Amino acid sequence: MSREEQDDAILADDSLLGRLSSLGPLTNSARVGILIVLLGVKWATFTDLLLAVKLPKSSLSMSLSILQESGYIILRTGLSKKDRPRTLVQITDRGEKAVKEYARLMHELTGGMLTES
Amino acid sequence: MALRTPGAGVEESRVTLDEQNPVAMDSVEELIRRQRQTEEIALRLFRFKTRRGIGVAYTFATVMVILTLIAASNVRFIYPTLFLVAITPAVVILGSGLFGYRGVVRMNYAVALASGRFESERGYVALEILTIVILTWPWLVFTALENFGYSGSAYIFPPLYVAELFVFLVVGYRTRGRPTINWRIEDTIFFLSLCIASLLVIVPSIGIMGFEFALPVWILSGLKSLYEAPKEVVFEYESGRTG
Repeated sequence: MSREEQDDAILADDSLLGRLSSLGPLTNSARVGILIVLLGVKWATFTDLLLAVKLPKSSLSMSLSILQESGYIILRTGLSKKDRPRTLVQITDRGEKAVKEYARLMHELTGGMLTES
Repeated sequence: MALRTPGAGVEESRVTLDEQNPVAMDSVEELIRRQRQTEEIALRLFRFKTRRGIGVAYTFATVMVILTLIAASNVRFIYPTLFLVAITPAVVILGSGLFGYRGVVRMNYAVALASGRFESERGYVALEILTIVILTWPWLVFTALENFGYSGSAYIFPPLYVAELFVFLVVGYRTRGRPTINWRIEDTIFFLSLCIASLLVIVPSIGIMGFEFALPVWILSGLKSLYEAPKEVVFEYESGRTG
């Protein structure tokens, strides 16, 4: 079976694609990146995420809203030690499960090539 | 703290996000490319946080050496190396929380997950604890033998510690995949000075005081790491490793 045929076979697997679609907000690489970051650090500030994702503030805000609506993250606002407003972003259990499921699906969809490349 | 939606009021923004329609994905290469993007996002922040933690750790190591040297000069009834060895594991365990050591374990786990490796998080924690044990036991044995008067046998262990350090670095370099730590010149300098100081312990006229020379080097390494940590998120390194 050629490489292209292998690709087609994997991508024709509706069950995998269906499961990936069910993770809705995670069809965007920036949002997945945000969840991976939060999986690693538990919580991050809006500024941390801005530096990591390198998106405009408005885009990041929009992504965070979408993730919050899906119940994957919690947003909290408070004041920093210097009395400046700051937003803390925290991953929820649901978010952790979703990103792990996403990683598992990507692994299956790429036929293990993710690890090799 | 009140809950808030930061996106409120910006929904009308026309910024196009890199949306993926799973059904429209046309190749596995494309999936891999996009997954690499997500990995890159995570690594950028993790490397910044890790570098900052390393800066604190190097500086804290200097404090440990100062305490040991003070003990060596003033507390005659305690063998200085014993003091160093006795408190090091405690400091490492306490420091694991302070320096974000547990955070590093979690970050490695997250990066591994993003790159398609599904080791359990517990496996990572066990590996890190094992690392601490491996890097501590030669000093414990050295101290015990020294105190029981077997100096000849004791002197085998500092070189063994140095050898372990090198094996640990080489194995870690080869197996970690995309690391959350960018190896930098200050890391090389820190580890070389640690190795030299460790080897000097077996020279009777120098002993534990060999660590004295490492103090300025460690302080400078720590400060350089702290100063340059923000560069990990400002600049993107193509190779993932820098000098």
